[in-house]
Amino acid sequence: MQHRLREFWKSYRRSIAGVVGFAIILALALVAACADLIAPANPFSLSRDSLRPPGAQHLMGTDDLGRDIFSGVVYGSRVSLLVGFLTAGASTLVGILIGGIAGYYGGKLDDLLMRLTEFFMVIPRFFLALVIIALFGSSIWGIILVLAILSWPMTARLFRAEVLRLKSQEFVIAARAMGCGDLRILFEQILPNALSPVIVNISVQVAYAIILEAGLSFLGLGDPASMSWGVMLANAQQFLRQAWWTATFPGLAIFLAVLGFNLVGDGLNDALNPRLKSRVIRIDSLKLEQA
Amino acid sequence: MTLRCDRLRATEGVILGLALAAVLLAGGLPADAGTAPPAEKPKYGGTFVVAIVNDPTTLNPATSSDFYVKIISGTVFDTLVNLDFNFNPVPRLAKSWDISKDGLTYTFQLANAKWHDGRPVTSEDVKFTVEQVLGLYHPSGGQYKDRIQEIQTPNPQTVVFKLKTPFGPFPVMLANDLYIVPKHVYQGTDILRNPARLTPVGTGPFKFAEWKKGDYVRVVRNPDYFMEGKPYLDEIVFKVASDAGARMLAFEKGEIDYLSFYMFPASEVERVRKIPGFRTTTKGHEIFGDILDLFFNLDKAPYNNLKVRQAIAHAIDKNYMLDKADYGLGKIATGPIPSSLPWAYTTEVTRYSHDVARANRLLDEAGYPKNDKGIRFKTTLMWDRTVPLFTKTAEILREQLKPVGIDLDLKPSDRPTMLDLVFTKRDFDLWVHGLSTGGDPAIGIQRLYLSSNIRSAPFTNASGYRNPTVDDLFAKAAANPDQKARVQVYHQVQKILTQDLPIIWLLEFSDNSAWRDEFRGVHEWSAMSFYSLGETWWTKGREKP
Repeated sequence: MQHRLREFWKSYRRSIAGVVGFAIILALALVAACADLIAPANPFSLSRDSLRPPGAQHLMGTDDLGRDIFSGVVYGSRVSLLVGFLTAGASTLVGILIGGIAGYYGGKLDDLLMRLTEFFMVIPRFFLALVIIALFGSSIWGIILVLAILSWPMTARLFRAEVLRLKSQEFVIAARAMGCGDLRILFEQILPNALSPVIVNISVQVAYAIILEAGLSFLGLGDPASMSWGVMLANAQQFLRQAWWTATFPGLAIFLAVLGFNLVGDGLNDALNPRLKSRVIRIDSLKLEQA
Repeated sequence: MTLRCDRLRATEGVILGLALAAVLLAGGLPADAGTAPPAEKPKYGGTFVVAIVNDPTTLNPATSSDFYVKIISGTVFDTLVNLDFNFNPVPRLAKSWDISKDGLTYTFQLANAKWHDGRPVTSEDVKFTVEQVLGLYHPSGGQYKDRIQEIQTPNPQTVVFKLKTPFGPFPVMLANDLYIVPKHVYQGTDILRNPARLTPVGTGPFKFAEWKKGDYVRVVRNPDYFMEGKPYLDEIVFKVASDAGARMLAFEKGEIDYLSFYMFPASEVERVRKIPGFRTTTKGHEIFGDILDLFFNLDKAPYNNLKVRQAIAHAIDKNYMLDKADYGLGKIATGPIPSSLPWAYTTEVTRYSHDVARANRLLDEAGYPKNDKGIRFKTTLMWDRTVPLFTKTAEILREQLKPVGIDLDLKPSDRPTMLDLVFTKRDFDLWVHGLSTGGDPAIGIQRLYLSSNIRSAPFTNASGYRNPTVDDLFAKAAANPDQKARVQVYHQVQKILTQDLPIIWLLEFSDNSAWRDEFRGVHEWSAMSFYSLGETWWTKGREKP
């Protein structure tokens, strides 16, 4: 396992994009973890110092209610990471399940599931968000639910394509001949080999989720109880002409986070590229009967 | 050497002279906002471009109270009367009127006006508009049906309204809704489908010229307008500009001349004021008299406890709210009647100063002690998320209630859901909303406090306040056409309500309009200035029409 990790890191390291992305994400994670130490103020506390430009007292200036933008950006990283990872996690689980079943069984089930997937792809985002938020309220969990619903089709299609590619491979045929159950084949044989694109996809999903959350908040559907970057951007709209800093810093934060995750996705893609690597065959799970 | 000195002195002199001239030109001549210009004589000519966000749904103002319908129709049609800043009725299609002593009969003498197609305006048009159009199709039509017993037309120049019971603010009602439409065009037709609603024939200072859907509506000067010498502009173009950012830019570039309050957010006021060549104002919107209210659900604990409501009132810093949520443009509200109704307004009411210590004490006395986290109780606040003013107010409230131990859970909502929860289900704790007062306490204010008005229609008595004394006082004042008598009654009402505190009246938030300084006669006297564009004139016009 150690050896594999080191091998992996050696090939990952070769991609500059990947390393830069990783550095950004690491910095982001540190900021989120140490938010209490880094942020000089509670991002929600109001003051009379509204719309102050960046300066000594407020590194990134203040918004129209006198809230410190730097603190908002720092604490906002927590919301973004939370939303990003939970969304990516949920959508990946659902996507793998649906894409896997569709790809493996094929036939009518595949058709049905693919139509379902396409349905979720064409739903207008905004209206779906409106409906869910009308039902569940404007909380961050409602947002995560909406984003997960909007993101899983991507993963499902990706994983289904992988499953289709792999299910006709010899090791799968062998496993089936051994009498392994379908789900076991799916999760023990196929998934490990399809893992690379799925992992890359997770990284992209996180970036996608962060942007979508910003977009929804910008449209006024965000959770005002959370100081997310999207909510900060939405608030800054009215002051674009007189207070550029209210939008620029949250915007830069979103840009960096999304860039970071996308670059990591690129790095992972380069490192895990199946053309260069040898196929992993899980021999230990097959019971070979010595003749 | 002397020659060089002379030349230098000459050059200095020229430079100094030029500098002096420049200073004089730049600073000396009267320019824009600061100084009041001397009374100028209106000039004729010019095109006034007004921004609208979308096409109007119709151009028959007797069937709609929509802002975009009225702002355009207000130039093509006339009401019987208009209102000045103090809500005194001012003649328009009615050149004079009489009110009987018992307040039941209003007799109007009509001006000598003509429809844009040349036919004369008669009392039959007025009767027809009220009975066949307004009363049936206008959102406020029910009120007309309820209050008017009969309309008589003894001769073409006289129309008589006979009311069922006396109603003081009757002229305000008329000024708001009663645009007169032509009987000879609409009679016997399907009013709502008659094509005349798209190419209107009115009596107004401007005639309808053309309507390019999605682009603009154009009206041109009516040379036969019954008010001598008016209007002054050659034409008004109502341009559709739906994107807020693009609209603002167009305004600053000079492509749009007028942004009325609907399209001019408070956040832009300060910035536009500083640009030379533009004027902004908060006057001319008195018909609204908006108040930002914090409603308590009096049927739900802890809001049935007066001490809790008083504590919350003391916890709130209204000055901060005015400063940050309304950019200091409006005023602090002190009670149910806004200061923009000067005749009814009084400051001799119970006031609640910003006093956090007192708030904490009251909550202790009310029986809601702080727990070990410093919290007394948790509650929710709802509002219409599409209005930035309300969102800011909600965020400020959350922070201001923290020091008194109230944990405010914010629940921004879309409008239909909110109206359903507040009025139909009555499932809410606290609700923030801005409500207009409609020009008279009997029109927009009493609806929030009458016990008979606790029902599931929106914008009725949301808090569930029941006080028979207040019910009687409101009824008494509404029935009396004598303003002086009503004053005392409304003063009493304000005293009682500010003591009972069913609502916390937060702010009289501002409405702001802006226009290019090249134009005058905008927002100068009318309580509904945005519907009174017939007096606008262009400083670069000509002497004669």
